[in-house]
Parts: sequence; structure tokens; C-alpha cells
Amino acid sequence: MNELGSPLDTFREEARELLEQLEQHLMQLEEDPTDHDSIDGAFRALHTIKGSGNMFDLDDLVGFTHIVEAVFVRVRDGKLPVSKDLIDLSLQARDHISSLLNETETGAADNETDERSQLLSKAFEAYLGDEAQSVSGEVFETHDSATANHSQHESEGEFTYRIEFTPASDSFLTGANPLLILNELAELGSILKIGYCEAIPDLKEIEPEHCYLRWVILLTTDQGENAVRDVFIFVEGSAEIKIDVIAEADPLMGESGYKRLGEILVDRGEIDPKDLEAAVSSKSYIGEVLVKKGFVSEEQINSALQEQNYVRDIRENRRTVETSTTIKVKVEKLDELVNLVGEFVTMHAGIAMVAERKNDQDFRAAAEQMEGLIRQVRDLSIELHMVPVEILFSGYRRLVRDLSEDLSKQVQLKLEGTETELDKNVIDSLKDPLLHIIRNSIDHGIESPELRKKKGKSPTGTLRLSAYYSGASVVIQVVDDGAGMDVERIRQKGIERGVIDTSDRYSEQDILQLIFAPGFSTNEQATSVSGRGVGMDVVRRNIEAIGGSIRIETAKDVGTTLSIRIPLTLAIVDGLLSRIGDSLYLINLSYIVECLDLQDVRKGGNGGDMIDFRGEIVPFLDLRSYFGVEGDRSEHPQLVVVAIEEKKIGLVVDDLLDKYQSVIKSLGKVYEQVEGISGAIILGDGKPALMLDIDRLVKVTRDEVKK
Amino acid sequence: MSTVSQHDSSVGASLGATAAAQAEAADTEKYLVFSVAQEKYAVEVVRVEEVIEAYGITPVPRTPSYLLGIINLRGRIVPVLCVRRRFGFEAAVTSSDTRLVVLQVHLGEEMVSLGAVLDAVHGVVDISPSEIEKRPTLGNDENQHIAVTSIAKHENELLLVLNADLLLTKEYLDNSYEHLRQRVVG
Repeated sequence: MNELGSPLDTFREEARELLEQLEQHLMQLEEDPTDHDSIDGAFRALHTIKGSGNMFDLDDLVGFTHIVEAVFVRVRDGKLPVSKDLIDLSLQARDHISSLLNETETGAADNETDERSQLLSKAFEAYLGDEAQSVSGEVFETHDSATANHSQHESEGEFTYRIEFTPASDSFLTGANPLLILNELAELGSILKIGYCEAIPDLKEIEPEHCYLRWVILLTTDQGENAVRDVFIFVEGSAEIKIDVIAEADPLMGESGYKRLGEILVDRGEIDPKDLEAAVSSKSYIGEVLVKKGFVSEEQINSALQEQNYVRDIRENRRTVETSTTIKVKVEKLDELVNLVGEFVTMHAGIAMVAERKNDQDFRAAAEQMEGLIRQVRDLSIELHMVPVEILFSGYRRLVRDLSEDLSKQVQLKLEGTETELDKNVIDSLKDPLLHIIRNSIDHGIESPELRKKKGKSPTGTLRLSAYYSGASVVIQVVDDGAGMDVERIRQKGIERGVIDTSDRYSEQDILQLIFAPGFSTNEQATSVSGRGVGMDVVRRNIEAIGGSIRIETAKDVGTTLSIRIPLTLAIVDGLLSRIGDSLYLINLSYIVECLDLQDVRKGGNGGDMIDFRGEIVPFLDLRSYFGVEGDRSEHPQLVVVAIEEKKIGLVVDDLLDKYQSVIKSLGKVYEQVEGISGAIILGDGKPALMLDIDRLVKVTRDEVKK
Repeated sequence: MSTVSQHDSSVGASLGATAAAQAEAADTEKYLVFSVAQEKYAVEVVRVEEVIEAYGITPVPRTPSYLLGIINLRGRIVPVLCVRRRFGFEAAVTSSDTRLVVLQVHLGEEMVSLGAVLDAVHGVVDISPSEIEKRPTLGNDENQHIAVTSIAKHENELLLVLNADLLLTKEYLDNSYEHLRQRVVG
């Protein structure tokens, strides 16, 4: 009904994305305060939010964003250095714009936000210095033109002008500041300024009030030549101004649509065509030759080269815009597609079953052909649903920054393998668990700078988030170089709480896994950040819910590594259907090592719960009794040997049926606490069946053996 | 589409949409009337997703006995609860009157679909707010009364008004699982 959404909804959605980008740029700037791409990016994000917001008369939002943008104009123009304070303030502004944006949705404008607007505006105005007055005064005028600029920007009719501008030498005295003119030009479009210093005399001869500079300015804009000339209106009489069009937005222009170096120099009148000819014939780098022969100065060559590059870049940008073939699709639509494809797969499994039963050759052949096709559609739709893990990782930059500040720690965040792709749903379900783990690492893992120095480490701790493919899984690691976990303390705590006994049969990994037990915490002092062990059990549950597992490695004073292993895709699983009593259960094929007749392997005599599997003693679990199934046992119970990380167990079922491919569905909140079942599938006849939680069953069985 | 569907798109069944539309006009509320163990109950129709036959239920092992399992509701997995067992009665043999009512309930912070197996469904009635009274608290507030917060006197009949959210609360569920775990250990 409301699928398209109102333009305002679209704006909000886009603005939120832009805010996200803004944050990324700000975080980048914090690392490298001179990164021009990020400065430009931050400015563009603000500019676009302001511009589009103006179309919806969102005055509060537009007004506030304008002031922030004005500060970034100064940063972009190199008038204001990026300081930590500015980043702090800008991040606050980002959050504030976000809440202003939310207000446009709820429609509730409260005083608190107003006050905050004013407070932050004041802080930003401080950065504007003298410009503050004019900026807040002319808000509406400027962004009207900005909007107009923006909306036409990508349309058509862009020209690139070469402007040669030589101010009169007394222009400083007449108050015609050339910088203002350059800034005004920059407002018109994208710009490249090349300054010539060749006229500056030696220091002893210099006249401080004289202007010795001249510029060649390349401006790409959708404005006409008159608009460009208007900028020079006050200096027209005194300065030398030459404006040429050097490139038009002509889609037909071929690849080599930019001019050669020599041509540019001739165009500018900096070289005689005859001299050029002579230089070209000498077959060396033309620039070098020209300088050597004294036809032009090195500065002129550089300037011409810059022009060449500039025009080429503009061209290329235009081309990429034109050939861009991505479409934005709502995530819900993709979700729906993946779901439907899942249904499709399920339904086909039903058809294949019928085909098998009917034993009709043609029917079976058709069903098989269909399977091939469906597999392709399935793979494609899963691919559509994959997103790079960067989306997840970069979201933590801010958290790490804020948290380390709150805790007075120095933490550097490193991201690795950000291009690794994962199912969107998996990414969503990883968000909270990772947040928790990162919090813990910073709070408990990484030490204070003083303590680190004492230990002989760098005062700045490193937190590494990395992702990589490993077989049919993706491994995500959170690595810190902090204090490490105290295994002995965790063991003591475990004994105290009666979770383990004092014997030494527990491996280090067994003990470390205890931190995932509900309410388990060794930290005596609870902090507001990571609390008292609340959460790690939730972390494990969430990760297991998406079929993942979690491992810890730790070494005292070296650090802790948490590895989360998750299947590449959750959507569809290949499994083996097995029967226990009247119910069917699906076992994920990727865990199955082998299927055997129980009689063949069962160790006779003592009747223990062990089998001899190829010389290895493996415990097994009778699912009939584990699930409390009544009725007669099968005459030939089957044993399915499954393994998780080399840990093998056998599962006894009544019968094995067939391979089955299906979408896995969540059992929902009501069955969240069920043990041994991880989800449901829908069979060909429409009846649900259950999916065995192998991870859990392996754990349960092996724990049982220990006791 | 009527305005109702914009207020609450979860009311998929036309039953809910038309009923709520009429209720708006008459200032009365639509209730679905059903019976469990010889007593008549009423539940707000806006909470009812649909009424279906009670079959195709796949049991889920190691769960409290009042949870019957799951059904496939057009591709969605919906948990099913036996209202009789939940209210502390003996489970009845399925008859031709037995129905499965899919309700929208709050569970913790989530809104979930929950199938409720009942003895019979009698239809939809209009009940005005004046006909509803708060249920007097009795000494032995056990089982079924937990989810019944008020009583409606409608056309000389007493209807126990069921608060759908109290049919299965998170606390109750957590307790049941805890019991189960202890029994398994013991």
C-alpha cells in the first residue's frame, strides 16, 4: 500500500545514510586530520543534507546543518585545521542532526533539542570567527542557491572553464581580496586552483602590500560564462581576466577527449606553435624538452599538466556516473525474495519426493531439470543478500573511540578483511554480540596507559577486528593486546559456583567457555560499561542462534582473541532427514562424518555409551531417550556420526530417509530455550519438521561423558 | 481497504477488519467467543489473526507440556499452546469442534503469533464497555484465572474476558523451562 514511501521518507532514509558517511569521514579525519577526501566527504554529506532538507522546509534541521557546514567550508579551504575538539563537536553535531531528523518523523519538537541546537550552534560559530555573523544571517539565501546547484549538478550542461586571473598589483590596497574571489568561484562548482609565484621578487625587493600572484583556475560548473564573469565584477577594471571554455559536457567525446600538454600550452599562449613543433620532433618527454629549451618555465608545465589531469578526472567521473548500473533496493524486498526462493526450494523438494514416489520417468527428469535452475536462482538470491562486513565493523569506530575516552584508555582500532561478505541477516544478528565483546575487551582487556607502560607495552592498546573465509564459514575475530584472561581465577570461580569440580580433566578451553555461563563474572568491581558478566551468556546464545560457535584464546599480558565462526549463509541448508518416533528431524550435512548401522559398531559387553568408530572411542547419544519419545524402537537403529571442530559424537536415530534441502526458520521466542533443536523446516507436504542443534548435542553428550 | 488496515496491518483476516470497522461505529468492541472446559471465554477480535482446524502440529521435544508444538502457517512457523493444559485441565481428545486460534500476543518486548488450541469457537459478538466488569479477586487465583482480567455480562451470559498477553508471559515461560531443566537433572 505504502510501498513507495513519501519523498520525505526517502529524504530521511538518505539523510541517515549520509550521517553514517559523515561519521565515517570524521573518524577517518581523527586518524589523519589532513585527509582531503574525508574533509570533502564530510562537507558533501552536510551540504546534501542541508540542501535536500531545505526542499521540505525543515528549518531547524537546515539552519543547524548550515552552521556546521559553514565550519567545514573553512576546513576545506584550509582556513581551519582539524582539531580533536572539532571532531568531538562534529560528532555531537552528527548525533544532534540525527535527532533533529527523528523529530521530523515524530513531529515532536521539544525544547531540549532546541536548546541543544543553540548550544552546539554557538560552539560552531566560535570556529567561524568573523564569518559567523554573515553565515547565520544569510542562511536561507545561500542554501537556496545550494539546493539549486545540487539538484542540477548531475543533470547536464556542465562546462569546464580555464580562467586566467592576474589581479592588479595594488589590489590589496583597493580591498579587492583575490582569495574571496577564488572562494566565490569554488561555490559555483568543482575547482582546481593553480597559483603562479614566478612574479614574486627577491625578499629584499618585495613590496609587502603588492600582489605578485596570478592564478590559473579550472572550474567545472553548470553555470554559464556570465555567471563566472559576475564573480570578477568588482575587479574587472583592474585585473587581467581571461576565460575560456576548455571542455564541454559532450557524451560523444571519445576517450582521448582531453588535450595534449603541448596543445594546452599553445591554448594558453604560453608557447609558440612553432616551438612546440620543434620540441615534439625531438621525441623526448615534451615537458622536459620545452623547459630545457627555455620556451616555458617548469611552473607553466606543471600547471598545464594539472589542467590535463583535471579535465581527465572530470571526464572519468562523468563516465562512471553515466555507466553506473547499480540500483538501490530496499532490504525488505531482498528479504522477501530470499524467503520466496526458500519457499521455492522447499516446494521443489516436495515435488521431487512425489516424482520419486510416482516413479514416472518424464516427471522425474522435469523435476531434476528444475532443481538445477532453482539452485542457480537460489545462489543468486543469496549473493544479493550478502554485504561486506565493513558495514558492521566500521560501525564500531565510534564506540571504541567514545568508550576508550570514558575509561581513559588509549585504544587503536584496526579493521581487517572488511571486504569479506556475509548474509545481511547474519550481520544484523552479530551487531549486539560484537558490541558486547568489544566493550569487554576495552573495559577488562586493555589496560590503562600507565599500567601498559609499566608492563613495557606501548601505552596505546590495539583492538583488531578481522574477518576471513574459512571453508564454508566465515571467522570473525576480536583481538586485543591487553591483559589477557586469568584462567586460574575463572577455574576457581567455576569451582566456587559448583559448575566444575577440582579435578584437572578440564582443558583450558573448557574453563574459558565458563565465562559464557549465565551470571558468570570474575570481575568483582562492576562497571557501568560492561556490567558484571551479564551478557556473555547472551552473546553465546545469539551466536549459536545463527549457527555459529565461539572460541577464546588468551595469554597473560599478551592479549585475548575471540573467534566467532559462522556459516556463510543461514538461509538454506543441505541436510539429512532422519526419523525418531513419528517425527522427522533434519541433520545439517556439513556436520555429518558418516552414517552406520548401530549394531555394527556398538561395543558389546559393558553396554556403555561409547562406540568404536574407526579405532576412536566416540560417545553417542540416543535421541529417542533424550527427546523422551515413546513407542517401539526401530529394529535397525542408525548411527549418525557428527563432528564439530574435531569433536565427534554419534547420534542414534530410528531411520535415515533422504537428503533434503531447505530453508531454516527460527522457532521463535516461545521455543528459544529448547535444547537440542536449532530451528524448523517445512517439508514437502507442508508439515514442519525440526532441525537438530548439533553444536549443542555435541556439547551435551561430551559433558555427560565427563561426569 | 478500510482505514482499519492502516491502523493495524497485522489484522489480516477480513474477519478482523470488518469487525473492527463496525465496532468503531457502534462504540462497542468485537469479541471472539470460545469455550474451554465447559466455560465460555471472550477475546478481542483485533488480537485474532485467524481461526483454523487444529491439525498438522509438529511436537517439539523437551518443552513444557502445555506447548503442543509448531504449525506451518503459510510458510511461517507458529508455536501452538493447549489452552486446557495451560489452564490446568486435562487435555481433551480432539473433536470436530476443536479449533486453533492464532492470536497476536506480546511476549517480552516482541509481538508474536501464538496458536491456541480450544474446545470450540462460537462466533463473534459486540460487547460494549459498560457490559464489562473487572473480575473480583478470589482466594484461589490459579491457572485459568491468571489470564482472565475481567468478566462480560452479555445477553444473560457470563463471558470470561481473556487478556491474550497473559496467556503466555515471559516469566511463566521462563519458570516452566526452569522446572523442566531441574526435572531432567533430578
